[in-house]
Amino acid sequence: MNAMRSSDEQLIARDAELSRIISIFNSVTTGPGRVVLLDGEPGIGKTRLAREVLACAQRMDALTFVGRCFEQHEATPFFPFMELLGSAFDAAPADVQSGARQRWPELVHLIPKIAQDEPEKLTVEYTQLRLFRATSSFISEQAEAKPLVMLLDDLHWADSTSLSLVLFLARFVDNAHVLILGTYRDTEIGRRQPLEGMLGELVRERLVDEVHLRRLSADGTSALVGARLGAASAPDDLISFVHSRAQGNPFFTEELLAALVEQGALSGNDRRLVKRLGDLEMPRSVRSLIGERISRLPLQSQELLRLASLLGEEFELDVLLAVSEMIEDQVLDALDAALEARIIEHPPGNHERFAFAHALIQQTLSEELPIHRRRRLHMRIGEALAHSLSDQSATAALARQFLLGGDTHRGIEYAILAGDDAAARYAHAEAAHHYRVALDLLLEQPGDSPSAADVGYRLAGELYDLNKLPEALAAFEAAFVSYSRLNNQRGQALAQWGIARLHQGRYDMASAERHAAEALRLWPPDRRDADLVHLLVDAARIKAYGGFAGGADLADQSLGVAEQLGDASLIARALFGVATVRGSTRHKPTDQLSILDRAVELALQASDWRTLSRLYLNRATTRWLVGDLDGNVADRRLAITAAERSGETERLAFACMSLGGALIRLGAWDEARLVLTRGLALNKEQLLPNASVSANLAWLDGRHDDALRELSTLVDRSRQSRDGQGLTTGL
Amino acid sequence: VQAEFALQLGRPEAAESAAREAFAASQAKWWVVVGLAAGPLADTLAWLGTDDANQMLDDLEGLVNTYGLYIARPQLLRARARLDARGGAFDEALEALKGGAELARSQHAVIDLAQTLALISSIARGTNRQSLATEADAERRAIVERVGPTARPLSWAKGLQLARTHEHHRDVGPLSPRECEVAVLIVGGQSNRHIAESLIISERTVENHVSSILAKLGLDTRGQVAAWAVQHGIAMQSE
Repeated sequence: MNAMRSSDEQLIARDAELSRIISIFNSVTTGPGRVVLLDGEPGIGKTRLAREVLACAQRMDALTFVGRCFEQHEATPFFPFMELLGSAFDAAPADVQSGARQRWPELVHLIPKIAQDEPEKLTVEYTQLRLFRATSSFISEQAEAKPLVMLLDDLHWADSTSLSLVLFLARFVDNAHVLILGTYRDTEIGRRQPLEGMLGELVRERLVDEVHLRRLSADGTSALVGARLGAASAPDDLISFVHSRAQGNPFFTEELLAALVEQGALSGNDRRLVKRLGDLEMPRSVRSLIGERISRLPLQSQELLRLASLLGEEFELDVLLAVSEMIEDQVLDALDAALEARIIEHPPGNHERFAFAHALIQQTLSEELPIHRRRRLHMRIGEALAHSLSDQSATAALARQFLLGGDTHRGIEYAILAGDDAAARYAHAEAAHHYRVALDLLLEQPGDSPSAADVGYRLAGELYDLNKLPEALAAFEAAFVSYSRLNNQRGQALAQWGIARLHQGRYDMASAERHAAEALRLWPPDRRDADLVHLLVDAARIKAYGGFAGGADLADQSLGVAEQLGDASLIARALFGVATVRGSTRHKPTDQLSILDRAVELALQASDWRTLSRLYLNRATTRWLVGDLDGNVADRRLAITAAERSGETERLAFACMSLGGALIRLGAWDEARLVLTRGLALNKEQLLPNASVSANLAWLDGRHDDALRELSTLVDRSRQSRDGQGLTTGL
Repeated sequence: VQAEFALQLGRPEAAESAAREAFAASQAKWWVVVGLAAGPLADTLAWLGTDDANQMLDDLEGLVNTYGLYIARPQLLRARARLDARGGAFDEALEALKGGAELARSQHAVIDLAQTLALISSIARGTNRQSLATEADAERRAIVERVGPTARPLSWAKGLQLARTHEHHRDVGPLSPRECEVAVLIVGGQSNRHIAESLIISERTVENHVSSILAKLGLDTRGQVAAWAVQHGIAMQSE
């Protein structure tokens, strides 16, 4: 019989921390949003305090939503946000729900119930930004009628993309009455690079209020013991014993009390110790204490809990039934015993799911299992999950189970699928993680595998999207070597093209030209497809930017293939290549305008915003040359709109920077300052060199010599990398 | 840009090598900007009175006329005026400058116009044409005040009697920075939906901002807001 009061009843000895967070919440109800991060060691009560904040906020008529992170879902993209946004969507008014698909189509990837059918993959690059902006916009909208608190619990287990999204929301939350409350274990800092990176950014940008939870004092322990035992005041010897063992860790304290109750060591209304302290065999660590408590359960419960611990901190009854090899009644009896002992509990409102009462319990249980048994159980779980799960997050879970179970073959298969799933949701960090796992295992196998080359190529693409350029280069080069061994010419060409794009992105035209030429040499002559059009356009533009001969031929070839394929978007793209190349040789700008007008028309027909943003910028320069400065500014504004529609951060930043430069000439310096600052903010990842925008901003601020120095830096770098555009612009 | 900035700071000697290299590089590598490089080169060489200034200006005029690179015309006219003035042909110089100013006005090339007006003022004062100088200075003063105080140390803003400013940024009336951003986007012709997307706020918040702008300025329509923003120099008129 468990005589302990539930830990849900009353928050003890955390008044100062609670008041501080509530006062921040109060400021959010009338002012801009804030971010609060609660940190502390395991068992210190972060989640308990955070839940108390949510309860207070609910009493003050706020909306509250929770997204939890679990260790087994560390590599599942957007895991906490899928839970959080799912419940926010359920709570949204009917008109918001019915219009959500139209207003925030990108959210289909995070709230699958929005979709009426399968989500389409967005056909543009940098779509992660679109997804982030849609999330921000959806949350801000929900927070308009009532303030909103979002709890992201156990962020030390969050996937990298979710952490990036938290950072994004933190940057834009000042526009909405939103409190982002996160919890994490400070003991994990140093071991979790993405979390450390996000924290560093939040602190550097002064976006966060940090609340560190310390251990309870002896008085705090006394209050906790009294409250949990339901006694007005607990005996001093008991408090002293518990405090010396648990050292002020609330979870340890509560576990210790539970063990004392279970051992019959406490009695009477005042909960006196009825056994001598010297006679009690109380473990000295929280883990051994947990082990000791579990050992008091029936054997069948213990077995089942160990199996369940491998499913994660939370698990479904159906999945447990499928993997347990016990009959349903036995499983239910075993679970009841664990529920009774408060080792597990039901998450609120869901009686088909179970959760360990604390992550430490789940970790202790799984670590208790010998390696060979753990492996066997992981395999069994993998088999069961493969038959029962169908959602997107299942591939990551399956990969994990099979890899932990030692089934390399299926582990690789599901890791690749998990990578593809993550890539389709623009969760580049998780995609790269899964591809890297699969690739490492594939490379351990004898012989050259076609899969290894393909996975390596996909990994390179994800690293490129993450702007991890040196790693992306190494991955493209490795993919090229793998494809070469397999004599796969198209693969070799794709890898070379990737390397060329990478150098082009760094404005190193000499290297870009070499690799683009190699990609074209290797391209199979019978493959005249959309990829070839894009490759030819890229190669032509690289030649133009680098001042190499032969760009015009390539641009004409791209137009030929595009016209043969009859695709408006491809023709527009090819015309963009033609215009770029002509722009680098002697020509009349007025001739250029007719090509660009036609290309714009085709790209508009195809709603190809990606190409449109480039075309508008190109046409803006052409209009500028003929003295049409108003047309120049109008096109640069259109380029911004198109880049916003296509979701390309780099293009949007570039369009803002170029509009800023044009506005300076027109004397609209206030607006120039605004758009240049926006461009600089968008270029946080420094996809573009910042020198020219920094120079312009310095100029606008009256720091004229700083402006000249920035330009000298740009010019020197452009000379070295043979970047004609950067050189002439800077000079 | 380096050459143009140096010229605006009144340092033609610092502009020369950048202007020459920019023009040479644009011809060899990036012809699309040759029209942008031609103007600063002509203006720099004429200002310095280099040996090749006349020949280079003739070549550049030929290039600009052949290819229709009209953006460079106001600067070439300014360069021609500098050379005329060096030779004592002040009437011709002023004629060239008036033509350049007219062209810059029609292109809305405000900074270029200010540079031309500064030269008109200097030559007019030196040749005792006070009313022309006063007229040029009045237009130049309006530009400097519109552009803002950080332009005051630049060569084209010098020699003017300007009102004292204590604020770094020009007063944009009662609007908050966020409302200013919304006003700028209204000038750009953007709908509330697009403004919301641009500023990453909800459409309803944009509606609130627009209502607040209208109330604060005592206006009725978005068009009036756009006109106000252009009038107060916080945004350029879009096409």
